[in-house]
Amino acid sequence: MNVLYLNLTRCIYCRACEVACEREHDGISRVAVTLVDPRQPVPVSCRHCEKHPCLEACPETAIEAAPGGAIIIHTRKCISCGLCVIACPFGAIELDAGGKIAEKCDLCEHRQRDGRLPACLLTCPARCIEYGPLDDILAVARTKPGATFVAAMGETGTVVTLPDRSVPGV
Amino acid sequence: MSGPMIEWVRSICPFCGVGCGFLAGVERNRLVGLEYLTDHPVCEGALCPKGNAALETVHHADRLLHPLVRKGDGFERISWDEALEGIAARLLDIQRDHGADAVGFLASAKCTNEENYLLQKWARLFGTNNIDHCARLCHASTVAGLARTLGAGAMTNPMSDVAHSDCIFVIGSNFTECHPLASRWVGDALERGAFLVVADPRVTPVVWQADLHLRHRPGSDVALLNGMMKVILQEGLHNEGFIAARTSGFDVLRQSLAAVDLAAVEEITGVPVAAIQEAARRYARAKASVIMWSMGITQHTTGVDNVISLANLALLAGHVGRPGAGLMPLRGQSNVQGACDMGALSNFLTGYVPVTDAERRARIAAQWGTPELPAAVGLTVVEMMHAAGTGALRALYVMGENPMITDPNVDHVREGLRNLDLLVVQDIFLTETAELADYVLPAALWAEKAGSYTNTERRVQWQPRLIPPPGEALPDWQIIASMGRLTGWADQFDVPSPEPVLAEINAVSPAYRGVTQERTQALGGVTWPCPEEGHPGTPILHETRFATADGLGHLEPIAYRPPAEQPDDRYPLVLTTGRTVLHYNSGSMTRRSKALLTRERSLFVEISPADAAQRGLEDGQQVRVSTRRGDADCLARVTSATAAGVVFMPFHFAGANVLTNDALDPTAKIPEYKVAACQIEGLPR
Repeated sequence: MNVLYLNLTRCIYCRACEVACEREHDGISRVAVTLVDPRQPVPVSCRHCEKHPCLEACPETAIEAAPGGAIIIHTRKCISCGLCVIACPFGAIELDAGGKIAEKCDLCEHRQRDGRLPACLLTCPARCIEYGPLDDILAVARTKPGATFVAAMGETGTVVTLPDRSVPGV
Repeated sequence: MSGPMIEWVRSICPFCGVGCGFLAGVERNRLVGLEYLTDHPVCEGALCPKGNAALETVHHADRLLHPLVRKGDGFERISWDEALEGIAARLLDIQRDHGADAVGFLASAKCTNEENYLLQKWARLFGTNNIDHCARLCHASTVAGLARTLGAGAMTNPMSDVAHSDCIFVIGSNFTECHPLASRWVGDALERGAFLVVADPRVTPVVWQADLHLRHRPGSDVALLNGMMKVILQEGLHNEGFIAARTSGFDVLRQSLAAVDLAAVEEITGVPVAAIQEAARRYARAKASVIMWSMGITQHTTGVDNVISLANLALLAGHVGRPGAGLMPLRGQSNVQGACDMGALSNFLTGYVPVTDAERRARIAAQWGTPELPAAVGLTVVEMMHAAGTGALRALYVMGENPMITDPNVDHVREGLRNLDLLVVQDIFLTETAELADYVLPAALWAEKAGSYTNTERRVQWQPRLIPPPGEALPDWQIIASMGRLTGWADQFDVPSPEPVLAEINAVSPAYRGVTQERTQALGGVTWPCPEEGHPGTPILHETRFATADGLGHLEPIAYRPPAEQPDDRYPLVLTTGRTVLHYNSGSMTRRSKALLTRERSLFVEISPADAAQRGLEDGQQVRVSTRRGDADCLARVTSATAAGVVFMPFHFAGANVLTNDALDPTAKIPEYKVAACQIEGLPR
């Protein structure tokens, strides 16, 4: 299973990932980088959680945990109920502009289909983002300065490293 | 990447000086997609937000499609023949009546080497050294300061080499916004345990990652650097072997530093002595230290002094000429290094041959088929605007620059441009400057013409033509060649394509001798100096000797001078200006990108919570910023990112440069964009 790795000690708040995502997804970005304190940006987007409350909340079968590790919304099956939006612990799902379809990061499914990595990962000037098997990601994360979080509310869908200074009590 | 008709062609990003590569998708004469080029040595595929938006301007509805001539308050469409012949006739009239020095030319750091070479050649054959471009406004101080101390006014090491540094000293550079790719290599160095010192009046994203922040006052750089050097000498941290073998002038520098008083340095800079000591020790003791700088160093009336001080620091510690050790002026535009190399400067011919050097000037004159070239140093960018105001300059030919947004004291620039007998602007959009022109010529942009670009690392890369220009727009090289032929130099401007121009550059410039089209077309291009065909290029400068005549690095004592303008009762705050990550220079491209404009919509001023509270200002409120030169209305951003007493504005939107000071560095003639005394008041809601 593949997981995302966000090394936020390196993030410079340039928002290249937003512009790249927007370009790849018909003008709507599925990531929003937010300053959580004056010196720490955090990209808000789907963490592709191992435990996936969005999927469990969906009354249809519109949300799928794909074999590779990605959580995918099948928009054609979406009934606009908004339950996944409420269930997501990260606020990473939104209904589209018309309030119809739930949308979120699909790890650039269309790119991965022909062997290309997600756009945010490739475009990130500061090289904050990686994607790969959990063991490989953990091996990389262990070498990084900062505090690494392997499990959060969604368990291990995404591994995150934050600078020590931003972590209360560390 | 789907679509069988799409051809993916390697391209160079048209924005900053980093020179990232990407793949442009071409289908039926349109650019339809962008893909990351992961094996590109500069960027490994990465692109900043501007790079991601690079295609948005290409097919924009605002593109200029036809030559225009002024009719009253508006423009009228005319044919190319009418435009070119009309301009040539008026230029020749002005040359006859007022002399060639009544005409000025602005080249462009957005255009190719071949185009800049042709424009400066035309200006000189026309009879004037009044040829300059925006390098005058960004790194003129670096070119002058490093030429004097190290013999070459360019970055010494490749960008990726920063990853090998043990101490990174950043002063006056917000590379996280202005050259985002630098963050990649700095990040790698920090993960290896490198120490990051940042000297900046603002808390930029570079500072977020710093181990030590020196928050010095705008314009106090020389004092700060002298303080650091004082500590290095006091504590015996200087590199005696390097100083003895590779430098001259040490005794004079040591004597001048003896007079520096660290308590006085703290007073001038606002930086505690202990922090200055820590920075000096870290920089000097590290195995390999690098200095990175940009406009925070150069855009001062002491710009050259600032750069010489940085060279002094590097030479004292012996941190130059090795992997991870060097001097890294980060250049701002895709071809600003190249435009300088080509001689689009009022004091240098191609290859940095001083216009005053009779022997070498004669050699170039012979290559250009003329007995003599003008010998007097010409007017620089800001001097041209001043001369336009007094009437000494009667005509200005502008290739792809927008001084109505980017030059200091814009109200004065407007007066000057209106006072001209002839203003010609060739550009891709009807810019704020083009709106004042007598003739507007529609130009091709990067994807619509072939040519080479030289990035901040001195790396020369070829951009192939991908699509035809829109309407009747033409590549700049073609327009300039026509102008050259029509003004009397038919034999010198018989230019069928850019390739033979690069061959001529190879012949004229020794550093470019081996920079052939074939080499520049390879992935990652070739880095000058490349003195002969087959030479591998020179990524690291000054490894065994400096580029000065005697081969030594020249230490030179520098005394602190305050900025030209000081805060007073009427204008108690210091305004400093710069870039944001989402926009680019005059904004003529990025303000036309939906992705970028929706993320950064309009002019703003950053003000500290204390200064805002004192004036009763709230975050997001409309305010008026005023200086001795004018005022500008914008939104207030109340933020601790700026220190009390200092405010910051980006210059991408109209207004900021109405405020800035056009006082110049005496040598480099660069204006002091970084220090203007100002006042801020709230506007009624």
